[in-house]
Amino acid sequence: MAAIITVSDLEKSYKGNPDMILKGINLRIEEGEFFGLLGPNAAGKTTLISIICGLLNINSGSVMVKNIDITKHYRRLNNIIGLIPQEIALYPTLTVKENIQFFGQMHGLTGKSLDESVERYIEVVKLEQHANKRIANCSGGIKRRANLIAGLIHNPEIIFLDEPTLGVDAQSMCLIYDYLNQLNGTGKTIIYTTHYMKEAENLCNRVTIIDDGKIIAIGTPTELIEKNEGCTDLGQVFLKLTGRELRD
Amino acid sequence: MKQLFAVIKKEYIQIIRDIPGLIILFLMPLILIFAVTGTQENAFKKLYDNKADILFVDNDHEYLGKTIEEGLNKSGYFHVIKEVGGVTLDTTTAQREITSGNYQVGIVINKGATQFARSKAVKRIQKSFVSDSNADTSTNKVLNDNNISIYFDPTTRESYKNAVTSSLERLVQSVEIKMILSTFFDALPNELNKQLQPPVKKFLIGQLKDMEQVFTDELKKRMGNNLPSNFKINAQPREVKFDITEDIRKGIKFNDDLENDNLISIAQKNAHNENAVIKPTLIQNNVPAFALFAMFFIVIPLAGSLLAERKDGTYNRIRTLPVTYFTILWGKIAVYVTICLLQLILMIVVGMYFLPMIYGIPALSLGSHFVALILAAFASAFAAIGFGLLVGTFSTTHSQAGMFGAFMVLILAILGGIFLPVYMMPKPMQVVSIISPLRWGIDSFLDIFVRNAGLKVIWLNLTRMFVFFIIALMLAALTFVKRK
Repeated sequence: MAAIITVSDLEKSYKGNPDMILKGINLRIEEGEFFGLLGPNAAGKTTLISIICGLLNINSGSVMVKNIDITKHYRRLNNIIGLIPQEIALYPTLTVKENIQFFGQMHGLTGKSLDESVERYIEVVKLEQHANKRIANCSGGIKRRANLIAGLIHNPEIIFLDEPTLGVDAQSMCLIYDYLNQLNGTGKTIIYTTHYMKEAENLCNRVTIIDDGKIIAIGTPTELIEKNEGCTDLGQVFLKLTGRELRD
Repeated sequence: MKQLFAVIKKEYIQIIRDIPGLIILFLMPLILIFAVTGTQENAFKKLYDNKADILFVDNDHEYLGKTIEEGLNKSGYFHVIKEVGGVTLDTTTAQREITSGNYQVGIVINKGATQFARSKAVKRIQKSFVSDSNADTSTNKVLNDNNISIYFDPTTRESYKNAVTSSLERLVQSVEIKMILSTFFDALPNELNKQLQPPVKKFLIGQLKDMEQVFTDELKKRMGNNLPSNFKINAQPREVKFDITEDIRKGIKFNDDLENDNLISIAQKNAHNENAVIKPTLIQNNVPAFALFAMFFIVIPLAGSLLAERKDGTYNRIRTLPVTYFTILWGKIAVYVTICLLQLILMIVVGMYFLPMIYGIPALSLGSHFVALILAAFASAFAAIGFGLLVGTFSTTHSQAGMFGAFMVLILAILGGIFLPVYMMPKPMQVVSIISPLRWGIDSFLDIFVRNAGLKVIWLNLTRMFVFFIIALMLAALTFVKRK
């Protein structure tokens, strides 16, 4: 399989804080993978996703997405990637439908194709009954589902999901899982971060565990479980590798 | 282009659904303008203890001109200016300086003023000594042309005009007494003069000192208690006994005019452009002032919108969109400019119809320079939005943006002369006030609404506002890029 994302010797620190958030990350994600990015709080997962999406500058190293150097030409990625951030990145005074329409229009969709896409995505995540509700008045589950399709309306090749099931009920969770599996089945590359190890174990072809800005493990969930003696699931592997000490 | 319209639509929906925000934007300036207009009309305004600049043109070159100039200088409250830019002022140049807003007040002692006043004094004394007055009144006709003209910038507040005019009137009254005194003694027969002169002179000098005391008291009352150290209070008024016998008293018949008619008349005028059609009123000043004040409060919803996008993650999502940040910003700008213009229109409608109806004052006149007015409206709206962009870009929390924005608007409004005209501020504050975008706006509107000026006059302030907006826009866009 061809590499769709290649990260080499990536280092990143934030202004005013000399400590490196990412310390020499090397990573290769292949086309069509469902890739899990795991790690405790402040491990650097969101920073890594933000860099790959072109939202943050880097200190050193290189990041190539579809052979495009994102440090120089991140604008070329705009229609290739879809970002579903951890926060509900929607306009609270707009309805579900208006939000989806707006982001569709920003990606150049117009007229009938826009309307059809909006209707289709709303239907896929079962938001028909809530389409005309303002985001501010929606429940957490509806917001999460709307947040998901706002990042997918332009049908991107690479999808970044930063804890998309945070705070949602089991029903919404199932729906999101099913839909993501369906998308992955159509050849989309998905990069997925989560704190739910079971979720990663079930969804991802391959996972990496990041801690303190470094990759400490990479492989399929089965490989990682097998490699770590005494572990029967990914959760145990995670705790074994990252320890039980609380993180900030 | 479609993307821009999509942004505009989204911004429109957001703003229209923010009902409390809209109420603040439109209701607050209305409450302000009604309250301030209702109370300001009779408000007592004191002058500050800094010297007020007064242009002085002496076309008389005689006793009256010299005495008035000396009196103004001696008062310690006026800085008498006879030259501007090395050129001695005449009536035309003084008026031009005032019309352009560089100075607020100018006093012109008209040619032949002393001669007219003396001539009138002589006639009056002559008239006073005859029982049946058939004295020649030709001097009065001549004196229809006033001896002193006092010119005001049309934007000058009534309270300030009254303070200056009444101070001048007190000064003039003391000059009148001196002139009557001198004329009176000249007119008396030698014998009577010998008898009358000492007690009358004593009495009149007492009166003169009373007048000077009244002048001092009036200045103290109007200008506060901070009398300059070099200002000397005259002697206390004295009680004078007349030594004039009853026979003499009966022999002299005083005409009432001696008591009531002034020798020296003062005409209060507004310095006007020759083609001026606008009558300066309180409403001409207040409507643009409070419209601008309201426009700058756009900082709160605009900064809030920018901050909300940063906080809720839409900012990051926007960065992944195939649109430039300028498109996003211009979408916002288009909607907020419309709101600012609507605010101005609302205030104009209130000034033209509602305030006159409620307070019985003349309606707002828009003047004749509509292109200048439209450009000033747009420039002010853009300056207000520029300020909102800066606050929204550099604030980190909503409360910070709200508090900072509101306080800054208030400070800039005070500095800009929204509440107290700049010319009434202490000199250092007048210098500082030039940094306020609200001053650029208010100066432009006052030029149009009150001085009936056009683009030739307001172009500098318009440029300042547009440049301020462009700098703010660039900083906002640059910060967006740098935040990576």
